[in-house]
Amino acid sequence: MSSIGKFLVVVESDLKELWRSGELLLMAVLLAFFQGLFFLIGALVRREEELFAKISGYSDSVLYQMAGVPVLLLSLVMVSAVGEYVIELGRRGALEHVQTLPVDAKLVLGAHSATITLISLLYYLVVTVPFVYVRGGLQAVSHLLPALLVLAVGLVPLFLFAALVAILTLLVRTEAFIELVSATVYTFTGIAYPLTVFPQIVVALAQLLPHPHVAESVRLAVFYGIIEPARFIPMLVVLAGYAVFSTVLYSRIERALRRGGRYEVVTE
Amino acid sequence: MRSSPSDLKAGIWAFSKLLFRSPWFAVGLVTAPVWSMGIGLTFAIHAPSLLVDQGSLRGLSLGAGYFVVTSIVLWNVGHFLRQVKEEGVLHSVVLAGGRVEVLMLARGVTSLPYTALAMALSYVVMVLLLGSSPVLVDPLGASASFLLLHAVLMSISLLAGSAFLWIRRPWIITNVLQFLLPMSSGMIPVELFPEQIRSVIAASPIAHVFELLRRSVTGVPSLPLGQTQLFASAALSTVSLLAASVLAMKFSTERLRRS
Repeated sequence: MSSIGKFLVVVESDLKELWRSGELLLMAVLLAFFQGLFFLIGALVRREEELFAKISGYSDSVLYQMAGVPVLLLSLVMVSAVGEYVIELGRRGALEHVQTLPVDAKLVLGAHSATITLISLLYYLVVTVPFVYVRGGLQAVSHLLPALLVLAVGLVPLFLFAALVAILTLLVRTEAFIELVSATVYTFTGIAYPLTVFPQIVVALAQLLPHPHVAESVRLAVFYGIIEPARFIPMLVVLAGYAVFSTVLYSRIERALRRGGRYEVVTE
Repeated sequence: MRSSPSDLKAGIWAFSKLLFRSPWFAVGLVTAPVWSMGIGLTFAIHAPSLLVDQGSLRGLSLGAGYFVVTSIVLWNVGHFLRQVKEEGVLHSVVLAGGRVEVLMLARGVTSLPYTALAMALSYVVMVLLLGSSPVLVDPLGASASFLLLHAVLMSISLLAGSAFLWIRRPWIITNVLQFLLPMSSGMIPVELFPEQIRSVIAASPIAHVFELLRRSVTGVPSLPLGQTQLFASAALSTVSLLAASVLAMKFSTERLRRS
């Protein structure tokens, strides 16, 4: 079978599994619930748009969240799903078997990444369109096309980030690590609110994560319909750094698996 | 057969050891202020002046802590029964004549130091990081009202936990509840909402429990209710919910025994 054939088989199997388990639909409902809740609160509360514009550079705090929050939620879902998947493989002793299988791990990872990117784009579109339409009208909805193009590129570093967190979880051997990462990503990436509310050191450290770069690019596209290729540069630098770091860590785990077999993570 | 108090004592002892040994406890205390800040800022950013007004910032930080505590109790207590059922332990307990409601009460009581620490850390860290200083106007009142709040959340978690035994994907309900419950009962500063929504929040008995805590910590009232009325409503809600949750536990256990 050709590489493309193998790649497509993995994608097909991923989609079938997600569909049969019902998770595909449930996740859409849950994402829509959170997006709807944030929209409702934003629409109901007293807003100070001028003050918000001063600290964020954007004119509408609700549209700001509607454009960015799904990116944040998708990343949190990825971190948790990839982490739990790897933990489960370790618990069943399957990680060791994966090592011995005659498959190209990079091809399989690429195929999983393609499935997740595809589904994430679909989710983003579904949970964003109604709210963006209400806040920004048809023009803002038309901006979702460039936003999706930007997000398609941005989801690659977000997926790699999730894979890196999963590998680190295996190394520290506690599932609670995923919770630590999720809280940090939610709070310190400036997606639901601008990072300018924090001290400069926090803003500088947040740039090491892919999220602020991805969210800002998506927001620019939603608000103004523009794509700034220059913004991809820091994103690609972060991506390259994560790729190197992940490879080094994965080699270490691979050695540990060959020597020690089962790789269990504390989940309690 | 053991008596209920000794079952409760044994449960508290066993769950305490489990809790303090678990990495989730330490990580939970680190993430509590981080989540609080994130959730608090998500709503406060619509009206950024809240972040510079000392009183509003304190109320907001306490509200964000309320969200975190709700989440801890729902996951830690509400999901426990389901977890022991999946592990096959619950059937053994039921068949051996063990009292599940006592076991679950022990679980709820054990999580009290966890939630109290998480609430205190969330409040103090958020207020300090956003440039203000934390206050505690009435320490005794704050302790009493936090006990009531914990009991209410524990009861709701036990009620949900009884239902979780029969639901296929309880994590969805928990995800929804952990947001809806605090948001509909005073987590977001009420002054941000229009009059109609304020009236709805003011009528919620769970909001009264949180209002008691907020008043005793910050000294600033948010709801137009007298202290006596507030305390009576909070105490009545706590007792009713606790009684309902014990009944639900008994009902679920009986159903489990029959099945």
